[in-house]
Amino acid sequence: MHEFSLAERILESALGAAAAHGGLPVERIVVEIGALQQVVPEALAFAFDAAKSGTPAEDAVLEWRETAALIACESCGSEFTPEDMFWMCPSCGAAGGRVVRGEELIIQSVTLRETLLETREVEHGN
Amino acid sequence: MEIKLVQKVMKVNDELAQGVRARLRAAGVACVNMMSAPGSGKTSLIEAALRHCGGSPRIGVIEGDPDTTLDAERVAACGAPVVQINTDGGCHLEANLVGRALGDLDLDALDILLIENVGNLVCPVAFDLGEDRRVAVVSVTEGHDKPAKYPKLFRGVDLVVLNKADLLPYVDFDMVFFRDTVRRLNPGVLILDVSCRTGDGVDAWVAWLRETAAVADKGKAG
Repeated sequence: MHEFSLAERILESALGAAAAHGGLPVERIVVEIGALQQVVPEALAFAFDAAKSGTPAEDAVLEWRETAALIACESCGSEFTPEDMFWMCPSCGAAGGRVVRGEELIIQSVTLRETLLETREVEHGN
Repeated sequence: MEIKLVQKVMKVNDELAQGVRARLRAAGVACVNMMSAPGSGKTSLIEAALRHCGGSPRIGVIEGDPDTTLDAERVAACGAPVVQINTDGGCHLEANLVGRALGDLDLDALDILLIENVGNLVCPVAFDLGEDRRVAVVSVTEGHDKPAKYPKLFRGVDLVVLNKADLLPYVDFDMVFFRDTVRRLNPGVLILDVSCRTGDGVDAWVAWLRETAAVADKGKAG
């Protein structure tokens, strides 16, 4: 269940982004999860929901995009998406390979709710 | 307002791990991250190395467990410097914990640091601790299918130790299936059959540790 550790890191980053923008509440976080990461997105979202309460991200929704694995064969250089845990090159049959894509665990974006800011502007206008 | 962040979730851990790596490199200390299921014999392998290596390499140990200092006590009884980390239920070690533990070790008195991770075949894999090499330990009583069930761990290690090899006659362990799975996941990886109980294979384990320590020493000289 290292998803709890990851959820805390994601929350810290989102709160950091919110603090840098006047402490606006966090509305949405989009995370990219590579297929080779042993991360269960639903478990991550569950852990995030547990971690976020009482913070400016307590209403935030965690969304995720999954990236398929891409392996480069070290024998013939061709790139392929493995069909199972064994990375067998479909071109030359060699086992193993180098990861091109699939290890991502990236916070792509954080969306902040701007309602507070709008309110402030209105007040200022009056 | 959407802010494009594009930040690695592991950014903080990765930076701390690089800090650990730099401190160890500067001191010429190699670092090995040992991962396995609970009870496969990581601590026994460390004890066996300490008893058989004759002080070469000079080994320091960081023990990771959710609770107790039992493992640290076993290692200390062998005369090695050891720091126990308790994760209070946490399922893996992170680089910040290792960084803190380094402060309790005299790195100048070490050639190699063995980090015994929390017993778990999934979560530790995701966290760089600043190690140079990774070891997976499997015992024959766990079954030959573990590499197939936990492929990511076995793909990323430099050594696989098959422990409790003395029990092979008593368990239904399919050696061909095991070796074939490991080789297909990680072509070329070294597999050592070891029995900490009988001492078989411990020489090869110690030789691997010496070679690992020598690589770090060369790195320091360079």
